[in-house]
Amino acid sequence: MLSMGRCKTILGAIWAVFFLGLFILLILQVGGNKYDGNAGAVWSWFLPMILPTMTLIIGVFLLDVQNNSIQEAKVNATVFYLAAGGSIIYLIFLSWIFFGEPYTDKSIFTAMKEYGTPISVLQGIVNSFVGVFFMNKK
Amino acid sequence: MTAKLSIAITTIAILSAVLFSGCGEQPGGNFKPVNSNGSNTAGNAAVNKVSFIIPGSTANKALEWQDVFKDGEKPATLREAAGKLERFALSNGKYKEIRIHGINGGFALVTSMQKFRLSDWLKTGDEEKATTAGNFVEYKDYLLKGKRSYYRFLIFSVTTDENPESPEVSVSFEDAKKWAQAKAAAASARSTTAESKDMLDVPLTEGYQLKAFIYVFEKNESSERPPILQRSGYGEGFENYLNTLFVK
Repeated sequence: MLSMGRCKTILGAIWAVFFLGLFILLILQVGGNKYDGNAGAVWSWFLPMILPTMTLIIGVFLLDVQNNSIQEAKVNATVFYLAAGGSIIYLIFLSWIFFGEPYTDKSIFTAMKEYGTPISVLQGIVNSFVGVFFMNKK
Repeated sequence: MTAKLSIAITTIAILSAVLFSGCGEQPGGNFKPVNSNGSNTAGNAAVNKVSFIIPGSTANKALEWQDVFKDGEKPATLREAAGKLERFALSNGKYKEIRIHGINGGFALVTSMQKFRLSDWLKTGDEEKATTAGNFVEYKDYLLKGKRSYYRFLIFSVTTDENPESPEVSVSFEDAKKWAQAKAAAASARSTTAESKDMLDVPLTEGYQLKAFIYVFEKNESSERPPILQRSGYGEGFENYLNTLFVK
């Protein structure tokens, strides 16, 4: 069993780092007029990929600040490793679509279409891991 | 009765063959530039008799004959000059097609469109990889400003006209792609006034000047807009490219 407070911080940090990195990248790309008026399509694709889990994590953090309900709780190590490992794999995959684009012969729009289905499936699995992690406290 | 019918059918067939034998022939399609030895070249160039206007280029350079040809091998006729320029464009430049258009006072040799890497002007033929970043600077630019594809084509003019270029005339990517294509050129030739197909059979005198023009188109791969002609820059790259293109 692991400390819920510590595991929650690690998981939150993983998501926050990737989210901020990709968010700042998109802001810079829009500033550089990379998408030539089509930035809305990229935002519409990117935000649903990351916001559901981010809002869940932020919600748990805020709840914990209010009543300190899960800080002392314990969580199953396997569940945490599944949630953290799955999150890292998912976020690396998502980041590669953006950061790896210059090394491929595909445009970002092609990549969004081609990877849309597998990344949605992966997102569903990771979201369930993260949800179970927060529900699994003892 | 049967014999008369057979004779009538045969006569009609022969008359039809004679009457329609000229149909479908491309104007100027029998022209083949010749090389310095007087023999036909690969036959990729057929003169297009449309009076052609050289549009505003990205960069241009006036060339001396000795820059292009070995000493003592200056072409004797316009036809020879066309053949030699064709050889450089097809062999060294790896352009897939060329087309010769008649212009005021001479001719213009137009190459097909070619995708190229801005970081390596000489590397051609790898169309797909031309849009992948090759170094850190390219990576940074592609990541933040968008992936760029570059296309180019060349025009060589041999004419007595000192300024054959018309800077006020602009060319679109789609139009330029057609200029070196035999079918499109032949189609447009039918509806225009034709010049003599012998326009190249004249001596290449001192009055004829050789000039090279490059047209660079840039496409943002994240945009739906077609490639846009760049009207400045690239001069230094073009000069270096010409030096390597005319390896004798």
